[in-house]
Formats: sequence, structure tokens, C-alpha cells
Amino acid sequence: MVLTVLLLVSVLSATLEVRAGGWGVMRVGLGSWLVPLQRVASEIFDPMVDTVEGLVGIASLRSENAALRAELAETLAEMAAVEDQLARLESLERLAGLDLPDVEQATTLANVVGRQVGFEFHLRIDKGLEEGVIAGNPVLDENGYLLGRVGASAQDFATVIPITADVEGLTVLVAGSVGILRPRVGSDLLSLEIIDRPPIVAEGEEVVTSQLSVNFPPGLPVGALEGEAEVVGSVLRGSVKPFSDPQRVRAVLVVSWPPGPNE
Amino acid sequence: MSSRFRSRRYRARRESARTVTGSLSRRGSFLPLQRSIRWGHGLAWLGVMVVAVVLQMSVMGRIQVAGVSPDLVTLVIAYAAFRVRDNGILFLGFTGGLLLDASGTAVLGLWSFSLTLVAWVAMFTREQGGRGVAVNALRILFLTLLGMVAHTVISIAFGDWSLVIWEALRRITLTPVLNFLMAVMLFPLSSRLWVPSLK
Repeated sequence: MVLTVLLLVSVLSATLEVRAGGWGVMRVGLGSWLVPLQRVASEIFDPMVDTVEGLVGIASLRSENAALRAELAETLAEMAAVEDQLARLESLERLAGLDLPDVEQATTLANVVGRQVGFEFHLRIDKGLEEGVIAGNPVLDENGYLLGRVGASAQDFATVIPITADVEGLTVLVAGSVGILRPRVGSDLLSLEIIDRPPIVAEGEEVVTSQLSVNFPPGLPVGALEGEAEVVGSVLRGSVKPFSDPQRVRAVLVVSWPPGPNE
Repeated sequence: MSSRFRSRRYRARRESARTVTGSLSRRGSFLPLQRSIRWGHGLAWLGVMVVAVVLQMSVMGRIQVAGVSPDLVTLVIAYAAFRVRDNGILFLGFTGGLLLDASGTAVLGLWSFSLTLVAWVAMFTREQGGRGVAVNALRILFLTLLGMVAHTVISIAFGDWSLVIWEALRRITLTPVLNFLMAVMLFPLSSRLWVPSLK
């Protein structure tokens, strides 16, 4: 009996709400009475639920963290690439504004696009025969220091042999005396020999290319004397540390040398 | 708690209840076997029901598994049936449903209809509540399923139906499963609430 009455009341109230819509007052009354209780319950239980949700979400947080780490690594790589480009741009700007001593010939700016590390260390630049870069051209770094020479040149690229890896010697001028600079195997230093009238030199003495040099314009800074030079008989022997660093150079300047008959 | 222990406890409590009714019969009093209405119990369970509705509308909505929350109100009706007698449990189910209807935006009377039905079936199945964790949990699952189906049917009947069929099936199937799991977890509580029927 009670069951029937309650079910009928339920159906009747639903019917009246659908047909007449006159139960709004009751709904508002009951609802407004429950709202403060709901607010209290939320204030009490929400922190607990948040904690539980946090614990449950640890797995998803881990995967999200891993994704964010990957994204961060990617962004850092992009930033490093941009920084590299900026450094390259700075090098090129410095090369473009370089005031070279006694060099009147045409010069070509080139980017270092690769390094061959191994038995024959050399750099690869992005300019070749199309840009007038030919084998034997002197190559300077962004500060105007002698870096090496072009070893071989293709249509759109060339290889540069640094002076520290070259098999050929270099005629230089030290304190007014002409000497020969040769690379040392397995070392970043160069060996200096001055045979004719050895000068009195001190550590840090600047070494530049000589006028007697066939392969390089005269007066290009090469390096500085490192350590004490020793005189054996009539020969002065010492070590020279090059100014240029082929491992760090990003852009180079290729000089058209020796000059052509019209230059 | 082992099943052996449960069955022994079940028999002991049932025998205790029979002793009470037997003594009443021996006194020649032809009182109905149903206990008289205990207003204190009724009001206490009404308070529990209000709390359950409040929690259902505030906290339980945030505890979701696959977009479905456990039905706390049905659990309360099922457990209240252990202590509140026949008409009382019907009124409790009706009131809980009415509160749910009033606090939502659906048509008034739909939840009260379905939860009154749930209370009625809970009244008949109260004996199974003390027969062990599995039977008790299956009883809760069945009651929840009944409530969900009844609510779905009457909602369709009154045109208050906005769910697509798969969404409805998901709710109808998942909510009883969640309540089943909650019943398993709450079995220590429900076994304390359960008393043998006096019938």
C-alpha cells in the first residue's frame, strides 16, 4: 500500500512537472537547503579528493613529465642551433669588416660546414670553384689570423688544410728574421727554425707570414712564440702556438692568392 | 573473516533473534513480528541519507572511473534496510530520491520512483546482506542495476532523456560494478549493521 502510494506520488510529481511545471518552488526550496551542505562537503572532501587524484595521476604525471623533458630538450637543441647561427653570423660580419694587411686581392666568405677528424684533419667549407675558391688559396679565420690553405676545391665546396695539419712548411718572419714553420705530428704547436742570423726572441714574439712566402700574402699573423727558443749552433729552434683554432672556427675568409696577372 | 566464521556468526545472531520472538510468542502476545517503528533510527537514517545525497552531488561526482561515479544513495538504502523496517525503508528511499531530484535539474519524481523501487527490493533482500561478502556485494550490484534501469526507463517515459545509447549502457553497467567494489570494501561496516530478519 505504502509502496503504491509512494510510486504514484513519484509518477504524479513527474507528470505535473512535465505537464504543468508547477514544482519549481519545491525544487528551489529543497535545492537551496542542500547547497550550503554541499559547499561544506566540498570544502571538507575536496582536498582529500585532490590528494587521491594526485596520487592516482602520478603515472600520467610521469609520462607528461617525460614528454615535457623531450620537448625541453628539443627546444634547447633549437636554441643551440640558433645560437650557433648567431655566432656564425657574428663571425661572418667580422670577416666582412676585416682589414687585412697587404691583401688587396679578392676574398670569399665561406661557412665551415664540416670537420674531418682523423688521420688527415681538414675543414669543409661551402664555397668552391663556382665562387673562385681554388686549391692553394690562403684561408683566414674571423680575426684575420692565418688558418691554413685550400687543399682541394670542387664546384660548390672545398676542403681547408689547417697549418697545424699541413705537410708543407710555411715561411714566416720573426723579429725581422725569416724562418720556417712546420707542423708537429700530434701537437697543436708548430716548430720554428731560423737558420740565417738567429734573432734574440722572447716568449710571445709574434710570428707573421714572410714576404718570401709564395703561398701566402706577407704580414698575416700566424701565431706567437711559446716557451724559450734555443739556439743550437747557428740555428734557432722554438715552438709557435697558432692564433687560429680550427676546431672552433665557424666561418672563414678565402683569399685569392697568388694574385693573377691583372691584380 | 573466513566464511566458516561468518556462517557461525550468522547462525548465532539468527538464533538470538528467534529466541526473542519465541519469548514473545510464549507470552501469548500476538504482536506482529515486525518491530515497532523506531523514530530515532528513522531520523538517524534520514540524516545519513541527506549526507549521502550531499556527498553524491558534491564529492562523488569527482570520484569517477571511466566517467561514472559510484551510487552512494543506493548503498545507503541497501544498508538502511538492515535496520529500518518495511515502511520506513520505503519512505527513506522515496526521500533520498526526492532530494536527488530536487538537487538536480531533471524531472522531479524520477529518482524518487526508482529509489522507492530499490528500497522495496532492498527490504526483501535484507536477509542476504549478512551471508557473506560476495552475496552482500551481489545484492548491492543487483539493487544498483535495478535503480539504474528503473531510472532509465522512467526517464525515457517522461521524455527526460538526453544520453546516447552507449553512454547510457556504460552508466548502467559500470555504476553497479563500482557499487559492487564499494560493497566489498564496506563489508565490515555492513556486517555490523546487519541484523537477522524477525520474520
